[in-house]
Amino acid sequence: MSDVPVLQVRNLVKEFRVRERGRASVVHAVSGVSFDVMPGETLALVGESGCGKSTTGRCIVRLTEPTSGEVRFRGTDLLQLKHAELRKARRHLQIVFQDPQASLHPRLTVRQLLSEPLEVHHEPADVVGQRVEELLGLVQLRPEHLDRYPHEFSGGQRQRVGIARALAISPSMLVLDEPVSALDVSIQAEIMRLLIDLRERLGLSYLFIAHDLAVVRQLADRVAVMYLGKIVETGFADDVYGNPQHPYTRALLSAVPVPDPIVERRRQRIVLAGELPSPIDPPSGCRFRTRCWRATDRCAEEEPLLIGRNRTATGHHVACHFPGDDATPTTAQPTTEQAPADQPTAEQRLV
Amino acid sequence: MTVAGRQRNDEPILHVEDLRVTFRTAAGPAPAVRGVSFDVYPGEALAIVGESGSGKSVTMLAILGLLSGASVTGSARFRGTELIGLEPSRLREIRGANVSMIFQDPMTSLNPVLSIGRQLTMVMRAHQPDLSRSGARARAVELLDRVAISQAARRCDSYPHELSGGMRQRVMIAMAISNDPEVLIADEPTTALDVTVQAQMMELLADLRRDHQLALVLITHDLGVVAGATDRIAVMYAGKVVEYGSVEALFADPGHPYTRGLLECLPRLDIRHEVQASIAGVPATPMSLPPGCPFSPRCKYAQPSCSEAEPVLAPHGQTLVACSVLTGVAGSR
Repeated sequence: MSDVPVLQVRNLVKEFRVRERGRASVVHAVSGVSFDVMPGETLALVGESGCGKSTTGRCIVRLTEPTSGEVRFRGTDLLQLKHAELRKARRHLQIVFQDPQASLHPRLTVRQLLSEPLEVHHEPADVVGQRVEELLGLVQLRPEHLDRYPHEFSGGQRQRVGIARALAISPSMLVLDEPVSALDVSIQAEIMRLLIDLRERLGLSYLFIAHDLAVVRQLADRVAVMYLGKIVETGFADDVYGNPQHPYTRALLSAVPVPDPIVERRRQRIVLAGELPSPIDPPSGCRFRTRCWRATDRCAEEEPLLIGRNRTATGHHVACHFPGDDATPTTAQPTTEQAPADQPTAEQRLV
Repeated sequence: MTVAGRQRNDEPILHVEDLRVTFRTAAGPAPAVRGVSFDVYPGEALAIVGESGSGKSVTMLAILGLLSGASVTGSARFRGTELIGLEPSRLREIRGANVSMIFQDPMTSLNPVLSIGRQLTMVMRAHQPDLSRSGARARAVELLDRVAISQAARRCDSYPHELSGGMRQRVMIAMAISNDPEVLIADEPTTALDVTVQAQMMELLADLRRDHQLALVLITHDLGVVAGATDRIAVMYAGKVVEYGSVEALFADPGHPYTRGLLECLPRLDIRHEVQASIAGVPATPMSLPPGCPFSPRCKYAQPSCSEAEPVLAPHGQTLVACSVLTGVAGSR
């Protein structure tokens, strides 16, 4: 793994102007997100609905125009590029969508779907034909599938087509936007295996956007957790999963059910109270404070910065004034179901 | 049939036997449910687990008489009353009062043009004619409060679109418990929700079960949710129950190759493991049922005899398993 990031996102901001009850207002979808993806690495961007993870992904490939920030891909700031240059740069950066049913043209055959990106990039016809067959093998579909239409496939097969299409022009990086969340569990596992396989074989880097932390764990090298437009915690997967520091990360991990009745009955959960605040009017200071059992006045006044627990760029970073375990209860009234002092440590909770 | 994972002798509140549902389609009959039997006991939670197209939702819709245009045979008795073929007016008295149901997508199950208070009072007054308008309203506020909707009195006048997904599902739950049912059927109640909201919802369901001695039938594809929230499981595949037993037994010692495969391919947070894509191929559909055991084309352990006869549920370990290779019990042809 080289030391130069393949993708550098800096202070990415996306605001949507909307009219709410006749009044013009601004939805703060992404509010200053920064991260790096190293060559061959998988960074998982996780969070719940409305946290801005998909908007971030779309801004990176400029399917949505960001309001401000920098997206440096292989050294070039994509946000500065004109249309033709952007198209050239995107040869190396492709996106796979959640719902292949919606992202594949229903009246094109698989052959046409896979040829299209190659033709757009002016590949000669004989190369196209050969490449299409290669792609089919890459995603483990059979030659007889070439002349079928998307509706003739199962969800898993359709997602294979979606992946093949993204790989057509040999990108070095994929943005995967919830690629398995629409699929049944057994099919999900197959697609995850395929993605892991392709990463090894083609040396791809992934930005894997997902809400499912258990799915992500299988392939993420690093994880960035988003809440209401900001990254609240980031670090190596083992650190974030094994030793979560931000209260939101801890709540999120604790909410994932464990498929084991014995563990499940014994463990204590952090159940968050309340609802996600509106991104039109996010809370001052720390955006999580309205639901945090450790919040104090300081959290409302001073926004916590994403600070490293050690000095390396890829180390464990947390945006919280009071990170870590609840060994010492704070003065704040807990809004969770249990008192903070009763909460098990990460190790106990994740058995 | 032996009651898998049950020692108690009390009477089931819901007894389903050999339920079959066949849809008529342009391409011929589609047998979506092919002989399903299970029992639900007072206060217990049963999970019906399966992937898309396994027939899990159709089973429950058929029991409540919510399928039109399908042929439904077999038996489903609620406290001794046969529900299959029951006249619609009698069924309506039971449905929503004694047995109620919540659905996966609260946005499409709530009426978008009526306030949630109005919808709640309608459900109550349909089953309790003596209830006054103001009494129903007061009860609606109480119910919203019970399902932890803040400022319940104010929210009562909200419309579904003004609520978040989690709040809408709370309203659905409030509606479902408004007539103090004995059985609550929840069809993928948390699938459309975020994981922290799912945790809130499962906790609410557990509280309600405890406070109201509710029996819960949880229809889901998610074995993770099942582990903490239910007592027994029926695993469905291609319109049949392929394994039936207590949660503990089924997780500790799954018998059916399909159950095992499902558990193996589940991603887990608590332990690092390489997820296996252990079930090859695609699920059988009602229109393309293979001969014999419907799982045999995807099964690692399949033998030639598997495609000859369809296995029946028989004891294996501590669960009931429909697999002739494991149980040695010959199937039906």
